[in-house]
Amino acid sequence: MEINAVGLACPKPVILAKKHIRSNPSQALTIYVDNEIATQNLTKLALQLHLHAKTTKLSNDRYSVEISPTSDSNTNSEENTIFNIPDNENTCKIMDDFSEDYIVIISSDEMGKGDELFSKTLLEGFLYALCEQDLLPKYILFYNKGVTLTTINENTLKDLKSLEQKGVEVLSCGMCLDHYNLKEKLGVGSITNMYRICELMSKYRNVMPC
Amino acid sequence: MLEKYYIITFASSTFAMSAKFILSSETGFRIIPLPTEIDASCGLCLKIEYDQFENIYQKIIENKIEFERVFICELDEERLKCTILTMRQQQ
Repeated sequence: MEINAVGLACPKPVILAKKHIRSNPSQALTIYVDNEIATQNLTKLALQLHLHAKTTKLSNDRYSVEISPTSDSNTNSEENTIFNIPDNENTCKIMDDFSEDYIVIISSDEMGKGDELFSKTLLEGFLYALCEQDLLPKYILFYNKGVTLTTINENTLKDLKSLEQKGVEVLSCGMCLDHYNLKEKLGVGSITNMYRICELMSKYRNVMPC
Repeated sequence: MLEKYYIITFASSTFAMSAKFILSSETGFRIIPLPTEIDASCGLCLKIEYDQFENIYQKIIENKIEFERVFICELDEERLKCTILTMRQQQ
């Protein structure tokens, strides 16, 4: 598949590439662009999606970026061509703007406020549905009563283990586990502290169902 | 890997919640959001493990739990295919 993004202002080439990759994750893609910034951004997009990218300079105003699936992420750093881009205010530099990384934050054993049993069922349903998303979170953070979901709730433990197998990191607040006497019952993921929670919450887009 | 399980749908989430309550001493089932492959509307349904279906279904009949439909579902490579088995039980 080829996309001709020559003449398109950024971030259009990245948006077009991302759209195609999401629909056809196993298909190789070649995108033609007219500037080095676009090649860098496309390369970074590929790296973030754990794909292989190879840039070729065809002429002074024409480049091709080949993005393809790879099982060996090490090849990325070796074969990607990184250009030295002058720091120019007029140059579009989106770099991290297209990041789709997000984290999910569970601060309770209920989703929203309402009937208790129903609210608990909703949250279990949320985690079940999360397992089926195409785009999974990088981390799921559990704090306060949310830690019951990483310890004593069999339904959510099953879903969280499945998410963990797919590469999602499950983190539970240590002092919360202590407070609810659940530390010995941690059934998935690992224990974290407030500094790490704070760092992750400020670094990634937050999805908060509670 | 092919995963097989049963889905029982209800006329409303309230019926699903009562089923959850009535079956709370049983294992091998859980309440999940209604898969969009069955219906695009928002709702809850009962997901029953393949080898636990007979037991759970019997309890549903015994307890006269009102349901709408029973499906057998196969999840293969992220693709869910559900086939209807039984229509509604109403009191």
